[in-house]
Amino acid sequence: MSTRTWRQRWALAAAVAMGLAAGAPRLSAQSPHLARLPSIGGPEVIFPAVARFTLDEAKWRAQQNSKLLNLAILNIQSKGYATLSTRAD
Amino acid sequence: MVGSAVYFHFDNPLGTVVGTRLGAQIPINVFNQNTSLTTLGAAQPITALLKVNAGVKIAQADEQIAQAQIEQGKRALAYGVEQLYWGLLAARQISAGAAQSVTACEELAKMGTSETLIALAEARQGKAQADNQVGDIEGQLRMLLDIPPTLVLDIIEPPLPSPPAASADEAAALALAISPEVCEAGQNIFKAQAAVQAAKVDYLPNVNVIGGYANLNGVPAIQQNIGYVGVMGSYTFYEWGKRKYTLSERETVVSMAQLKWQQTQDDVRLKAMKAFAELQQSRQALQMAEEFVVLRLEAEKTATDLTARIAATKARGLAQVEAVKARLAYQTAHANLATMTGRR
Repeated sequence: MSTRTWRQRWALAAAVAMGLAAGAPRLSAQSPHLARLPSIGGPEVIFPAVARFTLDEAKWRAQQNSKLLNLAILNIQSKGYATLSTRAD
Repeated sequence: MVGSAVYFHFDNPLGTVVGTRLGAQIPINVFNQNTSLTTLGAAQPITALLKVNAGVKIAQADEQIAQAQIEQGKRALAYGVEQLYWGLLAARQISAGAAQSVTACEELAKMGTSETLIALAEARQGKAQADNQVGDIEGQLRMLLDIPPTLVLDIIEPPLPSPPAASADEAAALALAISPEVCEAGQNIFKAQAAVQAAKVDYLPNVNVIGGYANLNGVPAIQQNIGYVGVMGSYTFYEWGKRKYTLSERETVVSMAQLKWQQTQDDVRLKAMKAFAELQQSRQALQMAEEFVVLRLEAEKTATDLTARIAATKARGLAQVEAVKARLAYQTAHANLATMTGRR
């Protein structure tokens, strides 16, 4: 009796795992940037998601993404260490 | 601070001398057959501390220069984003206007005359050009903001900004106060002055203070634990003018750095004043362009025959495009001056 219960449990776990595995490619095939409008009777509507930016937000984001600025920040850090190293002479 | 340890084992005893202990004469080793010497010492160069001080000043100036450069980069990036942002807004407005023109010309083209068909073709051509421009600018802005093509980029038009400074002199003063270029030039003077300080140290005697402890377990005639302190000094009397020429070279670098600082200040002042003048001019041009659009709209309403209507519609469209361009020119000039003065 107990063996059958364990079998049932394993079967359930396997079914869940298979379901997840089958669903995963379908989810990843969708663009993460597409929003799905719930359909009421009619065809399902998919529309692109919107990235909305004010001017200040755009500037902030550009600064965060800038590799050159990140490089310059590292340059400041290295200069700080150089100062400490010189002071230790 | 340094430490050292030495151990010797000699294959034979190294001889003895006769000494007296408790009234009896006994042989004492000159060196023990097993000898060890352990030392722990510290040396502090005194004169070199002045050079270290100069080196620290140079390193700190380098740090400040790096800060100024990052500030410069941030401003350049913000200005670039602002140009693209306003540019995209303007291009989209022109594209929307061109789309309206196409719709209007399509209605007229139903008459089937050659004039209306030509007008439609021109309107479509204008729309295609405007769309290309939108695509170009949007592509650049997307790249800067790292936005994938699947996302629709929606930007919000802020109200027309007011001038960041009331006069050209105020603009120049603000720009000078926060200019990263002036800051960098000032730090270069500090660096050059610190280098002069370091060169002058070469004229001083080289003084070192030393101290330490030694444990000598090998010569029975002397004590085992030895502590010591001392001062060492040296002076270079003549070195064929090297110090003199080095100092002269570094003093010349200070003069150059000071001149460069003045020139940078002049440059920043001039740029700020020019940017202020451009902002004033673009503001006037915008006012005129907007007035011109109103006049063209009135002229379009009063046009009676077909040819005059087509011409008036075309002229109104062009005036609207010019107004959008004038607005863009004002926004760009404002962004330039705001970047320089640090005021929004």
